[in-house]
Amino acid sequence: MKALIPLLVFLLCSPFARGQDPEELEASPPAEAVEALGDLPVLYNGRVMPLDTFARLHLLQFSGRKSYEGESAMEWMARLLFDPHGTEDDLVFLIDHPELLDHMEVDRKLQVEGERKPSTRRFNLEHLRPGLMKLEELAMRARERDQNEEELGKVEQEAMRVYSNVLTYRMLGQVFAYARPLPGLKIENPEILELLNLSEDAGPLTYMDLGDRVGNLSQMIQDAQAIDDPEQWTEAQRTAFALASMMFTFSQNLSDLPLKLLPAAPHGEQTWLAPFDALHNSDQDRQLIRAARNAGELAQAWSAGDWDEVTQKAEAVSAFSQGRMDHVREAKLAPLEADFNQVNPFGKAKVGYLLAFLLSLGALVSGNRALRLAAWVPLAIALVMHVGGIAVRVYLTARPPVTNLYGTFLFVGLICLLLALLVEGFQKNALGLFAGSFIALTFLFIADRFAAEGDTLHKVVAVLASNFWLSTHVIAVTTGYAGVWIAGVFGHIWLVCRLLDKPKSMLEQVRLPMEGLLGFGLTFAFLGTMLGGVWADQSWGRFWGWDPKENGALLIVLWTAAIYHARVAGMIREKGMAVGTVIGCIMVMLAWLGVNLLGVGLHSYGFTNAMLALFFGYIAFELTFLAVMLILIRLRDIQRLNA
Amino acid sequence: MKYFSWLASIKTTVFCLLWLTVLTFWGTMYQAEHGLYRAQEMFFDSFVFLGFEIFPLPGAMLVMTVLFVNLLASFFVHYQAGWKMPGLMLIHIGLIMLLLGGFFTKITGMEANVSLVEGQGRNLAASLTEWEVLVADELQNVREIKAVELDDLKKGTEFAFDESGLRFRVLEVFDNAKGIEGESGEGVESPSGFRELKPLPRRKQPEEDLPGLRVAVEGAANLEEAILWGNDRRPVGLETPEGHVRFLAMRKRRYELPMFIELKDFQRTLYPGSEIPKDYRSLITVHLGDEVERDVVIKMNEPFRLNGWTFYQQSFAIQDNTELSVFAVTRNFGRLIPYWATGITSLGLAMHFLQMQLMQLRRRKRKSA
Repeated sequence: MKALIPLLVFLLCSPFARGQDPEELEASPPAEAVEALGDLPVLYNGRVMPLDTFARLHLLQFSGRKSYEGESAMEWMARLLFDPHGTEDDLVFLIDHPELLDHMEVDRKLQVEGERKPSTRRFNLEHLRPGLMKLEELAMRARERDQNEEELGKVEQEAMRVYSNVLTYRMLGQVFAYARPLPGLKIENPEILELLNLSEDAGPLTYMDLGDRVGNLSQMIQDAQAIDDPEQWTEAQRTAFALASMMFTFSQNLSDLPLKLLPAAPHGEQTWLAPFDALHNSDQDRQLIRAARNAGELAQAWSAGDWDEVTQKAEAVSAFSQGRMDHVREAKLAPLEADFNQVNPFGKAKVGYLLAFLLSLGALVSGNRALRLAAWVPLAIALVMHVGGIAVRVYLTARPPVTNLYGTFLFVGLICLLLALLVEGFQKNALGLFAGSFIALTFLFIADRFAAEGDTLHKVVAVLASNFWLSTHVIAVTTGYAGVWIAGVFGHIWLVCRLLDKPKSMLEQVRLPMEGLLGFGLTFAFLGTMLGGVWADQSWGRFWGWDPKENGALLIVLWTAAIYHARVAGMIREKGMAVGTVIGCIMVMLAWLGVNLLGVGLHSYGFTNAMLALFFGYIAFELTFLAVMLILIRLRDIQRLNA
Repeated sequence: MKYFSWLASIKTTVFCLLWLTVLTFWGTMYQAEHGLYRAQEMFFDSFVFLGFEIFPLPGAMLVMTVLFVNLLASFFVHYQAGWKMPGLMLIHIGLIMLLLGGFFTKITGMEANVSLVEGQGRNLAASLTEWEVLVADELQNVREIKAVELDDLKKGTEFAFDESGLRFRVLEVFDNAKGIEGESGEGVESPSGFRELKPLPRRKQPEEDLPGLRVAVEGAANLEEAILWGNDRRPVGLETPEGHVRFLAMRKRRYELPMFIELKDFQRTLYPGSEIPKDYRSLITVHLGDEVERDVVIKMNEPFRLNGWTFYQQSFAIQDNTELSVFAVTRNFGRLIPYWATGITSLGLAMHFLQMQLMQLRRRKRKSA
């Protein structure tokens, strides 16, 4: 948590944050302006990303959502950056634990105009404002306890998270304050106006207008300071002193704000500055000052609804950053990443998979060949989106496809689908289409949950920064997950078919891929697990250390090997094999997620708790499924014998 | 022959695999509360352990031994038919190698670490978990040190280091202990000022344990008993009957390296504008003998290897503007065995399952024909 600057400073500064009333703004911005803004490269969390991604990450962090009431994250971020006052009624602060609101002495419910039900999870700044001092106290105490490695309660953790979000929100709202009119500032003294080279009819003044002119007053201020009694200062001296003090306070409060938009050093080490710092501390770097001014004028154009100017200025700032960072690959790729966000290939793939799933289900139930063939169409489109999405991620990160949990679900979903399509290619009975589209769809939905964790294209830490091992061990072990998982799906289907008394030929059509895919899964799970040992040996000198992640992978290998041997030994038959593959799915989940959940408290607790519930819910579902299936199949067998 | 069949039985394989699955799951859950070391000790390094502290159950070492014998036996019983199943043969050869490699590493492997600040050099590595008791004949510029491993000491064990006439008998030894401060009595010396030691439960991280040892000393002119503790700041001074002085102390076990390594520079790189580590690396000079030396960079995922010894960039610390680089040091002459085993087994698995699928397809074609 970066809560180092007291919130009070920002509360006191809030008049500076006030921009135009939203009603004064012109119509919604056109797509070109939003796109140009979204393409702006910024440095955040160790990497250069487009402002569009920055906006998405922050809105997600504040509210747990990717958009705000139909408005894209970028549009909402633009309002926060350029007209922060206009966002104070937005319900963007997610509070998972209402007890925190009690501590803040704020109502647990917020009745919003035009809504029937009051909001109980998301609140606006206006609602939280009376409790902000209490929130700050609570968060500071929690932070101190955290630094002393004391265990924090849920409310304390929530207080730290919400406080950090409020602080970030306020700081983002200040980023372009230097380009907004300074409230209450009207210079009428002709002497000062002359010194500042301003005419009497100059409009509302901003820091950007005055920043480099205020130096002209230095002689007058020095003369005033030489007079012991301020009562004897002239009107002009008083105005000059007040203006300089105001500018100083302003610059103190607005330094080091979070939006690192402008690279400071050309072609050198990556130091990026917030526009105000670039304007204020750039000495003789005229290009940088020009870029900071462009950024300020961009903010003014947005407030004025001058969309052509917005586009022009945004392009000018982008060109400056990319010119300076022409050796940084990510800076050049920022527009591509923004386009990738807009296209949302995985969202589109989900639609395709859903259609394919429904059509293949229809084909399975009815045996209709036309439905089966029709299922291929949305499936092919979804597959292209899915593969394309992964390919773009690989290109953007210059890393193999799997570098985090989010990536594993995209990749395993794809491998499962390809394996299922292989089965479909042999059998042509819609079974592969059905199983593949179902898994791909499910895994893309789960991936969405992990996207809420934050930046899915983040930098990998030093110990993982090896493309060789990421592309061998990780790919092999996740391919192993895919094989065992898809075998488990066929196991489920086999049990259902057996219960429904499907003909033996049908059961065989399910059993064969089930056993074959389990072998595929075992081969890759073993290879991946052992390659993990080789990586561990290369990295810290021991092949095997029984740590949870290693053990998770080993569980899959041991279990699948056990059921294979049991089958060969005649200890189990087809039904036992199907049950074994279903349990194999549980083993995969244990290895994949379970071992991560052993370290509860390391991650955002709200997210982890939700995932924990999902994880145990899944295991409970599988065990219930197995119990119900086995009982029903047994009853059916007895019934048949009696008949 | 009957027993041999049981040993070679595939049912034995199934039971072993299932029990290993249970142990792996149980041991992993156990780690969450008790730490990796305790779990490893109880489930994975043991032949028998007490389940729920009541039932004696087979540990992973026993199960893997049975599995190893089972694999070997099945090799002779089941695969005499020839090379109809080459994949299966390769799988089992690879697994036998893997188990052998693990056993070999357990017997011969060594893990320690070396911590260096910039400009400092060493030819000794310290174990993380093993301790030794030593006698030195000089405190500074040590000329000769003789040591005995703490693991070898039990209550009543007697030991001596040299011909100085000093003999020791263990009165108490604890893996993890705390000292009770106070007057220790005449003829008893404790560098930390303890009058007695109390055992403590082992810690989750074994390297945090501080062992304690109380020994009776024979042949020293100045004392009869010494209390040593893992966190002692100074040794116990002993006067031999000949009037010489020896120093008795306890410390983490040292391993002598076949080279002298010196840290020239440590660098830590973060991703710009963040605290995310991008790279850690140390530039060291390796001195081999008096005249041979070379500069080497050790970084994450790129260790330095020499004559069976490997140095890894493990961690770092910054104290008072001085950078301390910590290297993990291992010696494992069998480290390549698992590499070969992995390759052979994976190849075998791929061959076997492809063969199975082809057989299934042929069978189906025959049926449909």
